Amino acid sequence: MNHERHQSNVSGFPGKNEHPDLTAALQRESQRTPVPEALDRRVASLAMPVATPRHGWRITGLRVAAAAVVALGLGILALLALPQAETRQRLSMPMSPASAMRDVNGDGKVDVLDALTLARQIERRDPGAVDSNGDGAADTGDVDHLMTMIVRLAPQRNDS
Amino acid sequence: MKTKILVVASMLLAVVALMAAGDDAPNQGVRFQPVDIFIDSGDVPLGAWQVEFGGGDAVELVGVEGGPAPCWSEAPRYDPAALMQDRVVVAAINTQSELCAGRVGVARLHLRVQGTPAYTIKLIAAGNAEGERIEAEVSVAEGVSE
Repeated sequence: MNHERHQSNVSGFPGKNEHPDLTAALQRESQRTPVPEALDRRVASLAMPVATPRHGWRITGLRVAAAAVVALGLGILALLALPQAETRQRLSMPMSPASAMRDVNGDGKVDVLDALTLARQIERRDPGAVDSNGDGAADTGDVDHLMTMIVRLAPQRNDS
Repeated sequence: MKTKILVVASMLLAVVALMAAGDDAPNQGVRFQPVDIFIDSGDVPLGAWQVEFGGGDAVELVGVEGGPAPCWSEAPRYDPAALMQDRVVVAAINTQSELCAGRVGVARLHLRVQGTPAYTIKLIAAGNAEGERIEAEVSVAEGVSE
């Protein structure tokens, strides 16, 4: 029985023992004009091309539906993740050797007070004025450079 | 037939969900709100200031200009990368001889607001005319669009 059912699933056509009641009823109805089993098989084989497209379409439709659901999920995840990529501000600059040069007033912080101190030094033509932009001269360009560094956006540090 | 209905319904659901998630009620309740930054340096003339402003998720920065105080009428410095974000560091110095003391409006931020903003302001530094650190208080107030 199991072997017969397996074969019927492979061929797409039920075997004669798969539905015994139906088979018996059909045989009773066909007593007057018995139909050879070979003819039954032939009719079944001709019917398969008609049945197959509908079966295949159903599988394709389910695949499209599954793909739509997956695309929906991925789209929502992407849209939820993008706004979380938030850029944060840096409140103070790290005291690397380069930034130490910009700590003009020597208070351990690089902020707007260093820019104003540097501007005053340049006004007084102070020889100790810092060349913060490295162009070889201490001038208003260094103040601009320092101001740019002060307000620059950067990932927020956790050691504040 | 049921499969067709399932496919069409899934695609419609996907489109509706993507539209809803991608742009939550586009342009609904959007307004442009100026916000003034004030610094009170007491009796000491203010020569430099630096603040960090935040507006929360409902806010996007669209512009920065000088404040109503004549000492700070020039636009302060900020990172253009802060545009369309909800946080910005703003700073300015004034090397002129005439400086303002007391509570003065030093800058005006222009914001695009959709929802309820949550303004935060933090004074990073304030200095006198020579760049020496001074005590000061910072505050923000919503202005009126011109």
